[in-house]
Amino acid sequence: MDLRRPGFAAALLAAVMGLSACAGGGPTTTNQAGGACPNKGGKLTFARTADVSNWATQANNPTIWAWPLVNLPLVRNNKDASGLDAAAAKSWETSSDYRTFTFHLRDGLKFSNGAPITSADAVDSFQSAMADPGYAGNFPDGTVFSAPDARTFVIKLKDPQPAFVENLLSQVGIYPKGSKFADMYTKPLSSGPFILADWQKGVKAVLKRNPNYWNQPYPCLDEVDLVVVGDSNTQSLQVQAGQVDIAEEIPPSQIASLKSASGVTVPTFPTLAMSLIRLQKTKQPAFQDKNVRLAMNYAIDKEAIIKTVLFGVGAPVNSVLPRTKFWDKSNSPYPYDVAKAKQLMAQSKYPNGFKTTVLTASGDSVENGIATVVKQQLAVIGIDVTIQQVEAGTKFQLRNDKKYEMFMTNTSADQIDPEVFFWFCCAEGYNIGSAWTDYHNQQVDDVFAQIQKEGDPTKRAALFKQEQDLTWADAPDLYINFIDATLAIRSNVKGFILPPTRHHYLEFVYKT
Amino acid sequence: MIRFISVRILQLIPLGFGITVVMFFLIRIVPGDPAKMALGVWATPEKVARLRADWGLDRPLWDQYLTFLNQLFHGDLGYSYFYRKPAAEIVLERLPPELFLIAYALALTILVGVTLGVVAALRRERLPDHLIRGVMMAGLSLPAYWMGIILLLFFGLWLRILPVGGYGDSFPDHLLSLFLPALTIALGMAPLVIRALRASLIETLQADHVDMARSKGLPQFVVLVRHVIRPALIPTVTVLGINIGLLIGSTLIIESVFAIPGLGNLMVSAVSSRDFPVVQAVTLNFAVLVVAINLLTDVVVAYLDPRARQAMLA
Repeated sequence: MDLRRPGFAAALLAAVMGLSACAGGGPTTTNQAGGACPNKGGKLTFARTADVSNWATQANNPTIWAWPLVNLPLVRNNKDASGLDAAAAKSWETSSDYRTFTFHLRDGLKFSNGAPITSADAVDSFQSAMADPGYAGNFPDGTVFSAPDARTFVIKLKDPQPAFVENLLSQVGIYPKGSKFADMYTKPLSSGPFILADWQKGVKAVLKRNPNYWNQPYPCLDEVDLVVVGDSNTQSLQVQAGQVDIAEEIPPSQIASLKSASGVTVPTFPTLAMSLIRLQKTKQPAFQDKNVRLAMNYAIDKEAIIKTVLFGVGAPVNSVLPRTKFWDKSNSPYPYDVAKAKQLMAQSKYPNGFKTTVLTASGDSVENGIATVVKQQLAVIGIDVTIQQVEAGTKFQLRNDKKYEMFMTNTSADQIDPEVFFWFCCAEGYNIGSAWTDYHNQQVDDVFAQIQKEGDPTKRAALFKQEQDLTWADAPDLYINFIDATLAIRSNVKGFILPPTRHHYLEFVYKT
Repeated sequence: MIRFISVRILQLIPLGFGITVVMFFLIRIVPGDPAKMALGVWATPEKVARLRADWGLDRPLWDQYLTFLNQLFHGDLGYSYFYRKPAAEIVLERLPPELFLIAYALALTILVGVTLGVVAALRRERLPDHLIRGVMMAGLSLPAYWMGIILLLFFGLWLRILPVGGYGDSFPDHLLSLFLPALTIALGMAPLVIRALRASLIETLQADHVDMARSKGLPQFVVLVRHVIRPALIPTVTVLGINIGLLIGSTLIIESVFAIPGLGNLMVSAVSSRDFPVVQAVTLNFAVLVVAINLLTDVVVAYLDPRARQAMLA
């Protein structure tokens, strides 16, 4: 969930042991089935910062985002991340004990080669996924898959998991029974809107329209080219020159000038990501002191950072959760209040301040810009921060080894239900000590144990509200901003949506 | 000459061995476990250990190195952890844009450098010489990243006569797409050529054998071509050879700015994902290119100057 910036790493798969969420069943929204394309045909060129690593698993962000182009999961996150859409499954049911999940496949589903998709294919695909290193640890041991008939697919778990469907099932594709899962990494047989026609790794992926896609007349486009353009300045120039239709990442400093460029629109989309600075409490004992953590949060002017470093894009963080379901939007961010921060420092065990180090990725202007402001503002309350820039891969390894004091990062939820994210960030999930920070609050852990068992949406919302209140009062980390994604898109591209999960749902896109 | 080339090639054997040692161990000193990166941080220690064993990363380093050498002698550069295909195949896909860019940049460097170097030397301390030296200073001072962006803005966005980065799909496309990156490199390298050529031309023009040629009544052009250019080229070729070696390393920035799918770009992503086999394969390619260019430089210098050939053999 800690993101790596362009070209790098890991937005992570959500795992799964002991998760929660809504019971009952059936899609919460539908998926524009049976619509019409105002214009059909044409090619869309989409400049992305990094390439897909493979087409079958969820290896990193660039892979996760492009995965729905050639894959059809049972269900998928809807476009505003408020619930699930039906995909390969037209409906589903969850048993009252949250152990059995039954999916009813759509009629007439086909692979791109015209072969029918049956529940036997789903069983084989899920069994292959379970055994694949790319899904390591995601399926609980003892999970059983079965196909009572050609259109029914059943998953049985050993232990109850109320949020099982929301947390995992939008991330596993269906492939023909008997096919080798590893073959799908590079030559996937498509069940999604597009077919992978050509892939020059690290350069370009050419996707052609899948004539056997279930949701006709979609996709509207004949072809989508995903081209890798690592430099965001170049992406920005290419979209202005009309060389690409969509630029995935544009430098914050260029947003204003791009908005005035002709033939280009610059929409901003909210995402499930936020920027924060993790505080390692074992390596730097001062961070065990709640007064110190609170003082730091009051000492930072988040609005100023958004204005000067991010050129106005984003909003101050107001919760330990990103803007997922159950996010408490009524909560207030820590205000910029130096007097209060100084008062809290005086009450702490470190009234005279201390020295510490913040780890940032070298060459990342946004991270280093934020770190510079943080350094200046923490100096006012007596905290002397040294900025240590390291190569991105090294930075994440130091984090994994807990060899840092402050760690500048982006973090995101990959599921719309926040259980996995909360477990990861604040309830000591994955045996990594609350996202490598060694934060621990027994009361938070106790409430979380209730969440894991609770399937009723109203009760679940109340429990998440309680968790957010508890952790926000504790200030486990130093919170900066929610991240909004700003893209540059040619004006003749219509129907583009970027869900908060950033999946590429391009089947509705058309060109005029 | 054949003896000279043979001796130089033999001298490369220990060098090649040293390169394999450095490139193998250097990437492994850097923190970062490829198996953890491939599986994500949630992977259980058992699954990480299994993948490490599959990739042979659980064996002692010296053992891994010997395996690597053995595979190398059999033409096998390993299997990419990230792309899940042979590293040699990935490198071969990226080699044509790399070589195209280097050759293109070299051609532009020679064209610009030799022309302006000769003009500056022949018009010494006059307006053309001052102008050329001024431009030369600017070319040396401006960072390639900035220069690349400015060229893209000017030719790609404002004039719209050249593509904004990329490599293109056909030979004419490549020529157009790589013109600006090659020019960016040439603008950085040409000043070095101009400076070396200008200095050696001025020195050679004052040599006794040139006075003798002139006194025989030979036309200026003939004097230049027969008696001045050849000896004056020797230091220029050496400067060029050294800088092509540096250029291969610096293509990394140019490829990033211009979105060229070359080896530099591949190297950056492979280092980030700790894709050891690809890092090794790219490093080996860079090393072979640099060594080959150095060898070629020595051969050209030896051809132009027999005294150098004797000195190098000694």
